Amino acid sequence: MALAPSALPAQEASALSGTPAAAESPAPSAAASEVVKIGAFVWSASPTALPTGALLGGGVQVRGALLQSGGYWGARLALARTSEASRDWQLTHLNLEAAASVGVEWRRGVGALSAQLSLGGLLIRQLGQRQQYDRLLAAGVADLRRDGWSLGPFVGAELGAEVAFYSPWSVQLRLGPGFTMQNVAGARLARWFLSSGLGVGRAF
Amino acid sequence: MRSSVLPSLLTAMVAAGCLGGVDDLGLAAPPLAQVQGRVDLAAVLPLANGAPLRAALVWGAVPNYSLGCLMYRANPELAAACPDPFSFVPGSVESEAEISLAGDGSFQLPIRRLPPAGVAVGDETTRISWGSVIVAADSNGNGLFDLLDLNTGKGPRHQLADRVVAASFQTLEAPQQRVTFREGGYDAQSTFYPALGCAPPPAGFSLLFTALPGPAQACGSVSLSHWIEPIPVGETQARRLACSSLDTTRVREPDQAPNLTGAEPPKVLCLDAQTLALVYPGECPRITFLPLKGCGGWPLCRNPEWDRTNSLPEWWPCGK
Repeated sequence: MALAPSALPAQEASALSGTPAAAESPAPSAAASEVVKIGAFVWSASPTALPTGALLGGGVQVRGALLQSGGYWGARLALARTSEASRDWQLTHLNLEAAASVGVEWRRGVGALSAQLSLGGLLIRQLGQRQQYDRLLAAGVADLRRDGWSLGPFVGAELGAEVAFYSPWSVQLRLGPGFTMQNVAGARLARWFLSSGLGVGRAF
Repeated sequence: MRSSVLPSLLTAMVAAGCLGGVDDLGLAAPPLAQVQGRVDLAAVLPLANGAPLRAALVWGAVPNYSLGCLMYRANPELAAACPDPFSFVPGSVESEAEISLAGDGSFQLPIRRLPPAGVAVGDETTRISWGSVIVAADSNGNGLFDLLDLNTGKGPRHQLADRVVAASFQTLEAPQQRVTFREGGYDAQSTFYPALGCAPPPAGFSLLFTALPGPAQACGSVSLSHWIEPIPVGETQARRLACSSLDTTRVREPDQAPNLTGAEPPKVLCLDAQTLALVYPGECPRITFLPLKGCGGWPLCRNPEWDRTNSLPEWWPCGK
């Protein structure tokens, strides 16, 4: 069975052809060889329905190369939680964000900068209960819970910085504003928020 | 067909946040319970001297009654300053409402919080709070029922701002209508406003009424949907019902001479050769006992913490 040169390591192929590998074709860059990158991250954002507090959670993301020029597509799923209290209520909001994104990346050495736009949906699950819930429940007081759901669109823009600290592993930091519309307190609420993430990814 | 699903979904989400919605911290809370009351305006208006009337649910505090008052009850000046051991002592105001003088004297008091820990007596699993519905003349017109609290410094120092004109629970020696909050079990032997002869109130909020102290058939518990009707109070009882002083009596070692200067110096009473009392004036008087031999729990001292009987303080005025 004949062995095609393209299927061999560069050094062996050059040995077969009798020409130095470096002189015939430069080694492909890391970006060009990456097809898919999968990562996980911790996520923090300002709350989308509550006036104070901070969302904290995590998520997973996948992205793949679109163009040789550095464009890429992506998708991510993230879940975060925040809990705040008023005089009468303890409200916990779980935010589930699912988004698709497109972006562009500039690489230099082991580092990279990126900018991306995301579009998706944000689902908020509210778990609310009265302060002193257990005491009130034991005392037979009714109407102690306020659970709810809200689903709205999500648009986000982010800048990211990435360092391949141990190729193909890399660490990524990203930050950017987001916008969503949710049904909060009986009214449609348009809300800007700030989102940040710190994650680790692996290229394949 | 498939290509139209995503835009349609996005359009729907953009049009409105859906699924019923969530809340923010401005979420209102319904009252935990509601007290319905009615006062006889014809009976209380003459006591109010034209001031607007306010109704309040007041949780009862733990009475602080010194046995010194019992030991020296024959002293008229001391007895006048001592609290009534059977009287309701106001602890904290839960809810207030203005009573329309043009109406029939009815009012509603929403209960939005559980009784604070200081007025819920019991252990980890058994607690009881007793409340009185008090009607007061808002004499200073500030829109609040002002308790005279000597401990926190709230309210005027020595003068009651508002005059109590009626109360549903005034003293253990009179018919009562108590707002009750019970958690867990019930201790029928408790000395915290004992409801002798009464069946245990149900868990949660309820109304316990007694026609007179005595047999079980004279008292019982009903839901708070029943009307509470505060009854007019006299001058002395009115003063007691506005004095939120958990610490009206104290005991201390006579190691330092009392400060008898100032705008309102205390009255010095020699109860006997070994016991001095300082009575601080005001509508909610305070008493400090200074026994030569005693302890913080005087007069019940198994092991006295001080004994000055053989080394009288130079300033000691009694028995000389």
